[in-house]
Amino acid sequence: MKVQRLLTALAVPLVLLVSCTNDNPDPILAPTPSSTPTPTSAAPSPTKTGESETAEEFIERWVELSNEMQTSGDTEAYRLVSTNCLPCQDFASQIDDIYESGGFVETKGWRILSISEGNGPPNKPSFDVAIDARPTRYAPSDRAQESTLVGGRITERFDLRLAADGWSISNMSQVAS
Amino acid sequence: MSVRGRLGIIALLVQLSVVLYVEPAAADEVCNSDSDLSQAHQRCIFTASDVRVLISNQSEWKYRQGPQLCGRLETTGSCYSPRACQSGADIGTWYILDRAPVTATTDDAFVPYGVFCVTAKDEYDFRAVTKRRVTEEFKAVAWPKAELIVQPSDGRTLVNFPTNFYTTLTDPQTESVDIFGHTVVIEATPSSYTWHWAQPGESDDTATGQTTDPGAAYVQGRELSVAHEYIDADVVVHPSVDVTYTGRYRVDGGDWETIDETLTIAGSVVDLEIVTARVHLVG
Repeated sequence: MKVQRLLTALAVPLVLLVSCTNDNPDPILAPTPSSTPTPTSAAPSPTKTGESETAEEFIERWVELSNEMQTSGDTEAYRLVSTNCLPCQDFASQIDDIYESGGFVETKGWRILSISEGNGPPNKPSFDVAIDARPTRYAPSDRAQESTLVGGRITERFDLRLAADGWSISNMSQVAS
Repeated sequence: MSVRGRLGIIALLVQLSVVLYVEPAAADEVCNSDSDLSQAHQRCIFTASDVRVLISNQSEWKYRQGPQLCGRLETTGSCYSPRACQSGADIGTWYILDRAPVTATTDDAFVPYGVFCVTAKDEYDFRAVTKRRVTEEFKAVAWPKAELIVQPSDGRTLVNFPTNFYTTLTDPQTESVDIFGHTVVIEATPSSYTWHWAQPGESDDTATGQTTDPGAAYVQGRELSVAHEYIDADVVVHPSVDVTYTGRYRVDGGDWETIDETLTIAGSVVDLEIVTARVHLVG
C-alpha cells in the first residue's frame, strides 16, 4: 500500500509537468449568450412509443428531450414523459422560470456514455447511466449575472415505469462517485 | 544532458513529490452539484459503504444517519410507508444522510445531503429498524393458535347434520421486542380463519373453508355462521382451524406502520366422531 502511494505521489508531478506542455485545453462553452432560444436541427419526439421502444431507447429519447428543453425553454414534451418524476418537474419549472424572466440557458446538455443493466421488476426498472454533462452557461433572468456550471462526468439513476401508453420516468437521482 | 543535470531533475521530482503528496482521501464519494442545472432538484445516492466512511472520517463536514425516507408524509408530519430500495440483488430501505459543517455545534445545522440504501446486511451497522427486520420478528413471535370449539361439544356429532364450529381468538395480540435498543411494539390481528373439517385421508370431508368470521357459539334460532355437514359416518376425524394474522408495528411509541406480509398459525386438532342417528321406539 505504501509503495502504491509512493508511486502515486511520484506520478503526480510527472502528470503536472506533462499537463503544462499540453496546449490543447478542452473547449469550455458554446459562444455568445442570447435570450432567444436556439432552434435545434432535429427536435426529439415527445410521443410515447412504449410498445416498440426499449427502456434504453426511452432513456436516450428522454435525455434528448431534457437537452432540448433547456435550450428551447419549451418544457411541454419533457414534462409529458416525466409526469411522476418530482425532480424532473421541478427542473422543468426552473427552466420555465428562467425563460419567463428573460434568462437563458446554453449547453450541449448530457451525452450518454453507457447504460447499465436495469434492476427491479420489468415494469419498474432502474438504470444507472454514465453521463458526460457538458458545461452550462445560464442567466436566471435578463437582469441576473451569467453563471457557469462546469459539467463533468456523472452517474444518474433513472427509475422508469412502463404503463399501457409507454415508458415514463418516475425519479432521477445522481449516484455519488 | 549531463549526469549531474539528470540527477538534479530527479531530485526536483522527489522534492515535488514530497510537497504534493497528499494522503488519499478515504472514499469521499460525492455528487457533482456543479455538473448541470438539474442537480439542484435531485438527491444524491450513496452506498452504505460510502456512508460508513463519511461518518467515520469527518473533516470539513460531519455526517450522520437521518431518518428513513418517507413513502408518504402526512400533514401531521408523520412518515408512513418507508420507501424500498434495491442495492444489487438485495432489497433494502432508503435512509437519509444528513450533513453539517464540522464546526457546527447544534443538531439544527444538519441538513439532508443524500440518501443511502440499508439492506439486511447493513441493518446492524446502522441500527436500522426496517420493515424487513420487523417482519422477521413478527414471524418469529409465538402468536397464539386458534382454539377450535365444536358443537355438539361431547366429541361426537351426527352425519348429515350441521355441526357448529367457532373460535374465541378474535382480539388483536401485542408483543414488545427490542431491536437495536428501540422498543418495537408489534400488533397481530386475527383477520381470517381456515377451517379444516378433517385431516387428509380421514374421510371425504377434507375440503377447507376460509372465512373472516370466527364463528359463534350456538344460540337457538340464530343461523350458524360457520358450520359443516359431514357425509361419512362412523369415522373419527380431527378438525382444526388455522388463524391468519395481519400485523402492524410502532417504534418507540411512534406511528403505526403496516406489515405487508401476513402470518398463518396452524391450529391444534380436536377429536370428533361422526355417528349415525339410530331410531329407538320409546314407550
